[in-house]
Amino acid sequence: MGEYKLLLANVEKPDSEKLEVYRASGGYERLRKALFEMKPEEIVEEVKKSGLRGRGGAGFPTGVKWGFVPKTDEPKYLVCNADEGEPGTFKDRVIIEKDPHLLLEGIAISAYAIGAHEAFIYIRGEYEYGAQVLERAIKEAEEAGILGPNALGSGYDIKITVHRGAGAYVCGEETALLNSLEGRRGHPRIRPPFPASKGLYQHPTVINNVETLATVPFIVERGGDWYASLGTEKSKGTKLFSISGHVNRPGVYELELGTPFKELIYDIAGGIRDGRKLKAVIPGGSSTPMLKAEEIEGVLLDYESLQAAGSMLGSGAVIVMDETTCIVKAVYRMAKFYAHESCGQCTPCREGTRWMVQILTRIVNGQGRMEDLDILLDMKDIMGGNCLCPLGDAALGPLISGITKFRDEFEAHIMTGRCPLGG
Amino acid sequence: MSTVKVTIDGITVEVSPDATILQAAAKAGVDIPYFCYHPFLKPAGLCRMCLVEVEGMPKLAPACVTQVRDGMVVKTNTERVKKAREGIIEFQLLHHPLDCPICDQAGECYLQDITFRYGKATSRFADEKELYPTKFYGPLIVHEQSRCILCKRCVRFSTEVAGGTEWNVYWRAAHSIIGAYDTDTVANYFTANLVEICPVGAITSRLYRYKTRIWKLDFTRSVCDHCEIGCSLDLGVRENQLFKIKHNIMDPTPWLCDKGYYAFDYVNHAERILFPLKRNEKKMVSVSSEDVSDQIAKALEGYKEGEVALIVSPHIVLEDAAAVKSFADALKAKVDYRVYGEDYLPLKTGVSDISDVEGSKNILILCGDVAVSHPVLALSVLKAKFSGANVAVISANDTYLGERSNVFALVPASKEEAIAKDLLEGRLNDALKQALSESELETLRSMLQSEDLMVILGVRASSALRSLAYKISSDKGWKLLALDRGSNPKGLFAMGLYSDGVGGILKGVVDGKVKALLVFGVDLFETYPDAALVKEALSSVEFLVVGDLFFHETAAYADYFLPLVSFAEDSGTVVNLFWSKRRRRRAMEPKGESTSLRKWLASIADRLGVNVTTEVEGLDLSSVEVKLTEGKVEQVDGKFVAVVEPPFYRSAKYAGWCSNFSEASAEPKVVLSIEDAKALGVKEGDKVVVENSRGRFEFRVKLREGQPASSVVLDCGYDRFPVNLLLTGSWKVAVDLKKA
Repeated sequence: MGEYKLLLANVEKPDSEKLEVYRASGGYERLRKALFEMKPEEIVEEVKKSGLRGRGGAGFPTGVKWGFVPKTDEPKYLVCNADEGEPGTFKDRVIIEKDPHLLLEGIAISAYAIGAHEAFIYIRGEYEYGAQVLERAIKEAEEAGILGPNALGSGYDIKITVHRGAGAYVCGEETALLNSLEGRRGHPRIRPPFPASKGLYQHPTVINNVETLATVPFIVERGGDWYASLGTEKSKGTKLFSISGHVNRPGVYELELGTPFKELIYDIAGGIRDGRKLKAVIPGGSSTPMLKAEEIEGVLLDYESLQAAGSMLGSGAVIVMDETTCIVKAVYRMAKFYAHESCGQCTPCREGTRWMVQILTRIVNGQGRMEDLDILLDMKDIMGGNCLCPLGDAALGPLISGITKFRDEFEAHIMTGRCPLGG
Repeated sequence: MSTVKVTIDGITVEVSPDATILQAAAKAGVDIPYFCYHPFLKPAGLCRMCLVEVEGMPKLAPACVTQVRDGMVVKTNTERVKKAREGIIEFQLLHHPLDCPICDQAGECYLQDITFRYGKATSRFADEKELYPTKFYGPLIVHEQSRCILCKRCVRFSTEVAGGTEWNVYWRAAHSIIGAYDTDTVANYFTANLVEICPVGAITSRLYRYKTRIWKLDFTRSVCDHCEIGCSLDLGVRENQLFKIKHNIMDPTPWLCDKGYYAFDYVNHAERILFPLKRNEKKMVSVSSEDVSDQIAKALEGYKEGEVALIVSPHIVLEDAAAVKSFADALKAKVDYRVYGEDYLPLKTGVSDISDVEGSKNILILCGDVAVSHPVLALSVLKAKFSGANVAVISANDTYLGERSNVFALVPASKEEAIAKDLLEGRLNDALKQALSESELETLRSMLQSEDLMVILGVRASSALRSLAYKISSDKGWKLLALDRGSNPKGLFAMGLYSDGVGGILKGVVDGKVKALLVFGVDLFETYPDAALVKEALSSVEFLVVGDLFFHETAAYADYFLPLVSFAEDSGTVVNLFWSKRRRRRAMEPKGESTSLRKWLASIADRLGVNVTTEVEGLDLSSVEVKLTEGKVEQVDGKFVAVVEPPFYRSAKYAGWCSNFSEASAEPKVVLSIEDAKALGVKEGDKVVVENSRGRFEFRVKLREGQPASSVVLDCGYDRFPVNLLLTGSWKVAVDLKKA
């Protein structure tokens, strides 16, 4: 099927982040159309029709999410989640740095659609350059009268503010993000109440990923039906994939959903480096269960196929591991990440992630015991589903899949006290 | 109200639709274990101990935050729930030091109890435990991070109830620690609650550290002796020593202040006088209880009508008060309890419960720090504020509620009364306008226009202000709460234990009209705002009997000293702030030959051939009439006007004999405005001399932004530091300051 340039259509143009370049390709005309020709409900309807699902990882239908916002007079907020913290994910960065006005236009249309006058972009602390680009772009657009009070002369006010995070992975979780945005500790909140009814400052709030919001202008321009014609029957549209690891051409590629997995790895990303064999692949960011080489045979890159294969599409962050990779070490590295990034609020996640690391450290150091594997697998029951937010379950993704699919490698570490791959 | 039906482990109960599964389970009698849930804090769902299976929900649901639905079927006895519980306990114990044998919480520890009931007997943990050093946060609390299960109850109390921010979680993940970030001393009036709500031994009391085990204590439910709120306390006694206070009941609020929790060890203090003493030249010598009554009775026989007077502490129980009243009547003696030099009497108003405060929409607090005089009341005010009420505080000193309120005016000490008077009459004084921003003034105006306004008068408010507030609030339909000092002033007033004030009695002594004085339960040098007058009166009185726990400065002038019992050793009735009777119960035997005031008086009266009564059943509080008095308010003017106030940790009864408690406030300070400090050439932490014609004292400087110029606040209540010497009957005085 090959690449499909929708979101990435502009990024390779020179000075693509500038307003005039963006306007030359019809930029902000979609916002004009939305503000002058469409009612907010019509936009929500188009987005529902398009079948667009949240591109941050959870894949919740965007139009349905917007529909939860109560039709009251209280202030409402739109928050763009640009925290992009999932290891392996770097797709939003391309849009932010190379086509910021596309994102701003998407935010402005979406804010109008849900009745919000204020929108925030919560960008991860490490994206310092991205934050600068966005701030410059907002300034440009405000000076041109596109954003700000009376946007494009429509009488509708849209204020967009960039807020830089402070570096916590958990702040990509939407309620922790809201707490962080309010100036509190980035701890996830108990749900219900859901952000759509009580979010930022206890007002209705919609939180969407960068990629999701950047898709909205195209839906407004060409209609929900057109967007729904892309992709498969259930997974509609295009998706950005950030492929990394042992491939020849790692990077961000835009594909129609339903593209064969092997096409991404072997054609688009240029195959495994040095002609080695594929060992395992993590399809949707570090929290999604890994798949063995033979398991991606015939699997398509869409929500349903990956679920059927025992994993998830997630944020589309494909991490490719070739035959030289020590899975034990890979699992250990990811466990360390989650133990470091757990917010520490709820018991299973806080203690479970720390214990995992302690056990895996011993196994990696050659001091593992066979019963350790049972304890690690037992985490699925005592930790899985018992945590306050999805981080605890995310930590289980690589651990459980790693041990069940590569148990022999773990056992070899324990029995010989060293890595069979010499790592 | 409609209800919904919920089935828990086969038991169907009807509960309100906004109940949680945990509340429904309590009604069904099904035990669901929890750590982080607390009935008076917002549920947080952190510990995951209360996970239960709900039919139709794919995941286990935390019972403390999951709302019930009609027809919901909950199971707590399934294999899945059992496994989850065992998992959570295993997680909690992974890095727990398991030092129960030396932990003060052992015996009342949630982690211990829940592990015994729901946990597994063995551990699969084979790695090294991560432990933290012990942290002493000042003289009141100890924090053991290693034992902490991070349920955040303490943090939630500090932020949701006490309105503070310093006590919080720091760092992240498994390395999260609880504590105060930039201070080594945590003494914020309500630290007791951190200890009480900690489900494990992470926060414990320093006073109780390594003293005894909880199961060795016998608990008696009594009433606190420190202020007229009268919180219910459980007194834990072992071998006739009072070791621990607990507050197990929501009476009147779920919370407790540090005075009630920490200021009790005077009961066991080694310096307590346990035998009667009589003067022999310059020495005091021991005398038997029989002889002392004989001798005092004989001495009193020689005095005529009006020559004897009694001064009693405002903390004595009604039974003692009845005895004092009948004794005084028989001797035709004057009696008074207003040992702080108050010129006012308690006012009976319509506020009948602390929930009236919590339900107010507007609260105006004048002349005094509610959190020092009536600490728990401040939490109720905050509760009202957190549910949307406007709270305004107008005070000459910085108060606990000040920064936590919507409107806070720090006003000059000399103008405090006038500002309060103007405000009640609907005028905003210029000095008040200076202290507030336009929006704050707007809030204040709207509060004064509201019908739902509660005025709380602090203990500094004069009788004139009280009378005015009483009249205006009855006209406008406002609620009024007038605070008094002591723990039973309303009862003593109802008993008629007042005459022309303690000042009047002391002046009578100096004038030679009163020749014999009996002082019970109070060190006048500490309480009366004119130490020179006290000294003059006590040196010139012919015959002085002092009864108390300790041999304090007033006792040093006595001819006879009678050992009294503390609140823990005596039963009795007190009348609380809301004019209802509360019962104190005896938790331990009287020490030595100490006995209650009524018994001493009965024994003396017996020898005088008169009868004393201890009958209080007949006291009808509903028929108490309001007695408005209007003393003269003396205008204090000078280069500097000082208001003298005890800091919280010196304001408890017998604070000087409560070592940990009083240590929390180590040194007397003077609060200065920044302009004044510049003019004097001093900075924070320097020493200044505060003097007037009557004395001079050195204070440590504390600067306060917003403090009006020429107005200072002096600390009092320190041992061997009689600031009262500067005063002339009022707690405000003109002084001069210079650099030390």
